[in-house]
Amino acid sequence: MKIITYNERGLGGFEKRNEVRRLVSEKQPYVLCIQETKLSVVDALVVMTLWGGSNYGYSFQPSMGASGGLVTV
Amino acid sequence: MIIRGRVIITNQDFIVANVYAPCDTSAKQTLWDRLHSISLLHADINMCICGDFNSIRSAEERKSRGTVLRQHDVDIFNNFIEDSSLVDLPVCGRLFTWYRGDGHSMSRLDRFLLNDVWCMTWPNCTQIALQRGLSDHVPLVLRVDVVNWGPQPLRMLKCWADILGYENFVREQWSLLDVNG
Repeated sequence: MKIITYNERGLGGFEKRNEVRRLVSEKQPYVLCIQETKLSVVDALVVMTLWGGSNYGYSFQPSMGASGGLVTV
Repeated sequence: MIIRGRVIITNQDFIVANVYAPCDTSAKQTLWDRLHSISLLHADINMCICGDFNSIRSAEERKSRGTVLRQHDVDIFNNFIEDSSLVDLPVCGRLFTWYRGDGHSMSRLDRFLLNDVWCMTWPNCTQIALQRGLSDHVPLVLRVDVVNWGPQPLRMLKCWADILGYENFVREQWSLLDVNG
């Protein structure tokens, strides 16, 4: 079982999401914790691009303005 | 942010707290106090607090040109970890988890903190810092593996054959084995 924590400094861009996607497929974590998403809403579509499959649960904390924001998958 | 889950295979409950700590000292103190009371509340459950703590535990966890170490920040962070009796694992792979663009400043801002129960349930945890990517922080992986040394070797001692009834015993056990595949 693995847990990953990563302060990604923004999850808005395609490249950043792709990076997380690669990390997930390489390490196959059980839980993924991301800080500083800089997103006010993290929807299922975003999580699916990060996680790959559909077998997950997630929860997020919206960013305040342009900073902060958490997501745990 | 706190999530609670269960390892389906082994039916073990756990809590993972995803932390992004503020830079401001008094806001940090508030967060440490909250996390401390949460850790007391869940002292009987496997708990892991991870993320970007925006704090370091000693001068060795930072390298920079000239900036003064904020000792008070270090102290309140250490007090929180000690009071909550959290285990701070050594990091493998690299010393620092955050790098400023100037190439001179770096700190260990990200970590995993584990409570006693977690360490009892999964005693072989390792914390690994990965390669730098697009962020100025690096991803950290906590491996919660049960050490797997591979298949156990079978050893047969020749003297066993001298024990009376050995051959019959082996024959009996062999015929009892029900192997599929």
